[in-house]
Amino acid sequence: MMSTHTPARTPADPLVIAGRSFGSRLLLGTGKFGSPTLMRAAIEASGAEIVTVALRRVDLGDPADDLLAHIDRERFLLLPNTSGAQNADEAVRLARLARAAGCEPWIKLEVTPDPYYLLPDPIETLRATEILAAEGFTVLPYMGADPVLAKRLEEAGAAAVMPLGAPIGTNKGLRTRDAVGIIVEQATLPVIVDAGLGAPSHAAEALELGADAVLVNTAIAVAGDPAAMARAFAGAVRAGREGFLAGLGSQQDSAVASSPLDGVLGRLS
Amino acid sequence: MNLTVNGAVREFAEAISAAQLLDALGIDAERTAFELNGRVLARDELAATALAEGDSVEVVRFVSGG
Repeated sequence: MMSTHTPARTPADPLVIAGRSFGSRLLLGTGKFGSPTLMRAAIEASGAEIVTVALRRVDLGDPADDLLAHIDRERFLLLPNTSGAQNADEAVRLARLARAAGCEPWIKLEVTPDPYYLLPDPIETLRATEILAAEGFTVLPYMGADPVLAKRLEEAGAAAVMPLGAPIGTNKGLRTRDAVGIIVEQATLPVIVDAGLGAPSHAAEALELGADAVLVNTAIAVAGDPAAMARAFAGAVRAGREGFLAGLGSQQDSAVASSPLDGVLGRLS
Repeated sequence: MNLTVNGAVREFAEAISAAQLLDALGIDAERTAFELNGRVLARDELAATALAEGDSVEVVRFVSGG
């Protein structure tokens, strides 16, 4: 049941991951929606082409329950995550199961041993990236915003890096701004800011900074109107990207007049 | 024959294959992945893989997540 993701058109400014082009720079997580109907509406409204999913035991009391009934896999690339993994071996196990369940070999690698902050373990994430890349997976590791680790993950065969803005589900925004800026400056792979973005302005900020994309889940899923919030994030991502491409002006410490300084009327005494 | 399926022990009257286990549980193999004693089975291995007393099976599917 391998499906082939085919973009509807060749986008003008594509997000390219592992040689595959995507028209949207907003990736959407599918967790925490109040209902499948709300999730579907938000996916549509977001314009996302990549949606994340998790892998869990089949509920033997409800074996027919099926998320995939709600996601058109001809239109969306399903990106399974390894949530729940606390070390590299558990993450590798989940990635292999996801592939066996019919996903293309793309994996959002998450290794989060600490349940309180859910921060990614850099050592285990690096180790799992090496293993999975060698097995032919397209690996997108969730990582702390550490520029050195980003380079190590590149060398280990990652297809993109996913530094966090703030801990998962906190809605705090791009608290790692300076470090993400360094990652962007040094990266030769797409940089996708993942986790903690709580408002459209946070997403715009990440794109303005030069991040290639963002992944958003909680902020959209738990909004009063998830579809409207998905549209708002989509607009913010486009605006941020356009602002980045247009070239932001440099910051100054003192005022720089916008109006001419000559021809000012004589002072009133 | 006792098998541990997704953490719970289940008893089966006769020997069955991995594919027959999924049928018995009402699970669609096309939407799931099957792990036997820590080894992932490909779909085309399910029918020919006999399960044995004490085997540990995990059957997983996609759920919503970030």
